[in-house]
Order: sequence, then structure tokens, then C-alpha cells
Amino acid sequence: MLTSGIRNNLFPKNNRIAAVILLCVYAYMCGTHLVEAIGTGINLPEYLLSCITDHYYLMYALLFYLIIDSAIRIRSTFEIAKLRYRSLGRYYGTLIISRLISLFILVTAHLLIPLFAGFTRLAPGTGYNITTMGDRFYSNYEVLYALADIIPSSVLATVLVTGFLYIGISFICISTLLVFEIFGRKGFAVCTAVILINTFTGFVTGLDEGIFKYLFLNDYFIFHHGLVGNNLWSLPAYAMIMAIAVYVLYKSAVKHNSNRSGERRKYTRNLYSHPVITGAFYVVYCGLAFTLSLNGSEAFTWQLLKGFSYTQFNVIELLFYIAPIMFSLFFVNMEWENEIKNRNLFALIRYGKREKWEKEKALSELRFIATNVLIVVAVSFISATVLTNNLDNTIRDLSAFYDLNIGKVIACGVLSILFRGMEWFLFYVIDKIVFKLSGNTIVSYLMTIAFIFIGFVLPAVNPIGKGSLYQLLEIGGKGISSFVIMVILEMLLIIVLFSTNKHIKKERCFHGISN
Amino acid sequence: MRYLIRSTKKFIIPALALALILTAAITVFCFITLRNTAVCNRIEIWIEACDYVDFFLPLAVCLAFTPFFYFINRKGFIRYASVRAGKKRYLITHFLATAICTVLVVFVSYYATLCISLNMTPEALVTENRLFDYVFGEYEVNYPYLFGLAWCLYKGVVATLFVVFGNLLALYTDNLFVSVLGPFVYCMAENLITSLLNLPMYSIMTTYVLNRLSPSCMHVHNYLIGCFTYILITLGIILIIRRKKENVNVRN
Repeated sequence: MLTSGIRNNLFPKNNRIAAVILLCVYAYMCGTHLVEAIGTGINLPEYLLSCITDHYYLMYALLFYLIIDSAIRIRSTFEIAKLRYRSLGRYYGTLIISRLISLFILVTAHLLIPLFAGFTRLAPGTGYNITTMGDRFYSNYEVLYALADIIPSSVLATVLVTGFLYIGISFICISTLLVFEIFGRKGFAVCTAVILINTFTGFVTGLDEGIFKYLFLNDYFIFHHGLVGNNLWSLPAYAMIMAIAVYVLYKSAVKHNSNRSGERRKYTRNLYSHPVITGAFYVVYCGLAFTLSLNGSEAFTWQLLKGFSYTQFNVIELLFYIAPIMFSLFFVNMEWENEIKNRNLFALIRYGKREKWEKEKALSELRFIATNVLIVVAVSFISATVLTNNLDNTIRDLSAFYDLNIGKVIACGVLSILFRGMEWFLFYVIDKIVFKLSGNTIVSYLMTIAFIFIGFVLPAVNPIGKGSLYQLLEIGGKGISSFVIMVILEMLLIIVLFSTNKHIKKERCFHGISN
Repeated sequence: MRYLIRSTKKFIIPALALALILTAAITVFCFITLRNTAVCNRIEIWIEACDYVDFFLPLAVCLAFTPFFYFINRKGFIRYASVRAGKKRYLITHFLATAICTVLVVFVSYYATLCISLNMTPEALVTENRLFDYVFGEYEVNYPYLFGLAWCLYKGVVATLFVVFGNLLALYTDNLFVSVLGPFVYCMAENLITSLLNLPMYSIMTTYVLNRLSPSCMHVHNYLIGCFTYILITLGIILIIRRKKENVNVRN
């Protein structure tokens, strides 16, 4: 079903004509570029680069093709198809995968056409001939000069530019598809208008610079608009903004359509997903970071990733650090409170066995918390990249301040992500244990907060807060033994609590359902 | 009126318990502060001690007064009561009774501790007085009892806002956890956001924590803006929840 679905959706009938016309236009443009390329004497990868970075083609031809393509696909969508697939996940999976494959073929064609055209007439090479041609400056190849400054190999630059283009256009196509699934055809029309206004505003007015480059969509698929003039650290920032946007849209689409899909709905699937509230939370979270950066608040530049410090303790830093987990646990506790009133009774009966239900529910909760961890980490990374605008310097500063080499600073950054995940799991288990013991969500939530605060009395052996980059750097400065002790302590605590949680059979919230 | 008095009587036990806990906590903190803090004026001990309790004030008042309303709502008592007295009238009376209790409890516990603090503290030896820089500094130093009277009443009114928000959440969300912890979590989140945006003067915490910020940041209107913003946002939240609940009811 999945394979045939992908095959059918790959290039629908009407779209093939549009794709062929687009490629013809591109081939003509490549031909005109080739004449220039032979005249200037650039090598083959440079020629490929000059073709694929032609922003007039990308804006006036490719973007319009993508929108027309999306519109044709949406027009041929039938509600009944959702019933055939039985699961919305499979349905969206099929649509998205087929779209990704078709775009991959399209982008590959964009590479192959100039490759065939220039193969016999231009010399191969890996460097930049354009920069070694004396004092002559070719304004047509301004992009090549700029790329030569940040990427040493022209082949690597071609791969990066193509990859960037592929991811960017995939993002636009998938977003429009999901917007259609949420808001219908009118929503799609508005979305298309917004995309066009947004991209052309950025492209024509040149507002897409500095921090505002993240607001304009043309920077998401035109490599030299998005990255040249800045450093390569913006690349993951773009990727994560796109991932978060697609994730939120996907979740909203599933939630919005789950009643109409005909699938046998799992109760726990949407138990903890409140897309609007969650979205609002992340908007506030990111918004704060961006606002801080615009205000030039140096003290909070690395607010999200750095966490809080014991040596230079600041309550606001601590609150910012624990806010996401407290937010996640608030929703988990809220649902537990609903369960106490047996609101899940029908779902419970459907599952038959309480153990099965418990397992499904725990998985759902963990998935919710893990997703939040991932999003917060992503947001942290984006803000750290966007706010500092030069991560290299920040890493160098940290390295000098804590007397650690750059490798160790980066390792601490990666470990902080891992430890934050472990901490969140720890808090979740504590919350669950207290809930199982007391049968009261208020008590369990307050106890979890108390557990966090009690930890500050014993900072030396306290495993809480070690997901904070500050603390890892502070420990890194003391030596490897402190670090190992801390890891062992945290692992030990998790194992003990997890096994305790497993062995507590007491359930106060279910009445009348037995194993 | 008789009905209001009868409704108020229902809260005697939680109100007494809360008053005792608050008084004990502030007194203990007064002693702790007295031992390790250099003060310029006697009232400063009380101000310092209240800081710790004020942090948990939204949680404390909601824990005491919100569950009662939640349980009568959950058990359907409002439905029966509405037949006799009208739902609107019942709710207004109940909210008024809760408000009176909250004001009384907060006023009594804070004012009693102020009196204790002023009597147990020896006269300060320092002549320089930093309290004068604050908005109500002059009153705090020269008329501590009179100022305390007004301030504790005001604090009681702000505490009432938390309880009313909690009760409204109980009415529309039908979730004990949310109704008890909602106001506290709101305060924490709002405090965090306003602090990060360098706007702590407009936070609800600034309105009921005395001399929270440096004197240069504080003006008389800050005490009103915080409350006003709080009322607006909470009303917005309640309206959204109410609308959502109505939609669910229509669908069912």
C-alpha cells in the first residue's frame, strides 16, 4: 500500500508537464551560462555552482513551479484516501515521502543538466579558478567569490548548495501540504500568498539580513542569501527552525484530522498533545530569547543553553532552566488528574488489560517529554546561534574563561544535551512515584519542585542541573574525577528510581478495572 | 446577607489553618532575619521575612480555598443550589464569601506578625535610613502600624484575585490540579517573563511584595498596573476555557 501510494503520488499526470517546462527553462538558462563560462575559463564545479545559485531562476521559475505543483496535488486530493490508508501517519508519510522523492529527482535533474552541458567543454577541478584570474573581477560570478571565502572546495560548495536547496524547497512544499490539511483550501491560498509576499519582500527589498534573515523564506533555499556574509553556524539554525515548524504543523494536522481519518483511534495518541498551548509556549520561549538578543542583553545571550551556575547563582537563570520541564510535567499531571475522575474509562475498557493501558500511557508520556526535550534543545541551539551570531568566538571565550581546550567545550555542549534528557526523565520518574504513592497530583508536582530546590543545598553531589552547560564547564575545570562521580550518581539515581517506580503497584486512580 | 455569612462560616477551618501557618512562618522568618541581617528600621525585619512567604502566597491561598469550591462543583451541588437561589446569585455569594475570608486571613496573619515584629525588635541604632527612598518609605518609618494596616488590607485584596482565578478555573476546567496550581504557575511564569524582558515593575509579584525592586524602579502606578494586567490576562484565559467548554458541550 505504502509503496504503491508513493509510486502513484510521485509525479501526478499534470505535474509532469509543468516539470518538463521548468527543466526546459533551466536548460536554456544553463546554455546561456555555458557561453559565459567558456569565455571566463571557470571549471566545471564552478559552472554547476553558477547555474544552481542563479537566484532569479530560483525565485521566478522554481518557486512558482513548486506552488503550482502543490496546488495541482492538493486539487487531486480526496478525503476518501485517508480511509484507505487507515492511519493518518501512513497517509501523511506516503504524501511526504513521495514529495521528497519527486523533489530529489527534480534537484538531481538540476545538477545533471549543467553537468552534461559543461562536461566536454569545461575543465574539471576542485578549487576556484575565478579567484586566480588576476585582478579581473566578474560581477556575474559574485556568488562564487563569496562562496570561495567560506568553503575551500568548489565541489563541496556545490554539494552544500544543492543540499540546502533541496531541504529548503522540501520545507516549503511540506508546509503548504500540512497547512492545507489543517486549514483547507482557503488556508492553502492564504499560505501561498504569504509565502510569495514573504519571499519577494526579502528578495527585492534586501531586508533579509542580520537577525531578520530567519524571517524570510527566500533565505531558506537560496544558499548565498541565507549564509554568505555570516558563518556556517546558521545552517543548523535553519534546519532546526524548519524541523520545529514541520513538527508543529504535522502534529496539528494529525490532531485536526484524526476524527475524520476512519482509523481506530488510540486514546493516548493525543492525550498530551495540545498543539496550540505547546506552540504558544515555544513561541514565548523563543520570543524571549530573540527579544533579549535584540535588546543586547549580554548576560542572557546564552540563556537557554548555558543553564545556571552554582558559583554565580541567579534565580532567573534557574527558573528559565527548569521552566520547560515544569511545563511538560504540568500537562502530564493535568491528565493524571483527569484520570482520577475516570475520564479514560472507555479507553481503558477498549484496552482490556490495565497493564497494556499503563504501558501505552507511560510511552505516550515519555514521548511527550522527549519531544519537549528535543524541541528545547533545538530552540537552545537556534537561539545560541542566532543570538551570538558568532559561535566560534563564544566557544573561544568559554574556553579561555574555564581554561579548557575547544574540544572539551564542544564535548561539554553535547553532554549538556544528554544530561538534560536524563534529568527530565529523572523528574518524570520522581513525579510518577510520588503520584503512585500519594494518589495526588498536586502533592506529586510540588514534591518534584521541592526535589529540584532541595538539590541546591548540596551542589557538590547534587545530580540536578547538570544538563546546564555552565555546570559541566565548571566540573570540567575541576578534573575528570568529579565528572565521573557526577555521571555515576545520576545513573544510580535513575536506576534506583526507575526500579522503584516499576515495583510500585499501587494504583488509586482506577476503580472497577482489574488485571 | 444571612446567606453570605453562612457561606463564610464554611471556610472557618481552612481559614484558621492558613492563618496559623502564615503567622507561624512569618514569625519564624522574622527571628531568622533578626539574627543575621543588619537593619536600619524595625519594620525592615518584617519586610524581609514576608519576602519568603510572599513567594508562596498564591499557592497557599489557593490550596486553602479553591478545593472547597472544586468539590461542590464536581459533586453537582451548584446545580441543586441554583434551583433554590439561582446559579448566578449562588456563585457571587460564594465568591464574595471566599474573598472576605481571604482578605481576613491575609490581613490578620500579616498584621499580627507586623505587631509581633515591631515589638520584639529593639530600636535600630543606625541613623541613616534607606527606607525613605521607597514610594511609601516615609509612612513605613514614621507610621508603621497605620501603614501596615493599609498594606495588609491591600495584600489581602491581591490574594483575593488569586483565589477568584483559582475558583474560576475550578468552575470551567473541572480539574483540581489546574485550579490549585494555576495561579501559582501563572505568577511564576509571569515573573520569569517580566524579569527577562526587564519589566519587573509590571509584574503581579511586584504589586504585593513590599519594596521588591530598587527605589528608582518603583512608582505608585506600578502597584496598579500589575493587578490590572493580571486581571486582563486571567479573564482572557477564563474566557478561552469557557468557550472551549461550551463548544465541547454543544458537540456532545
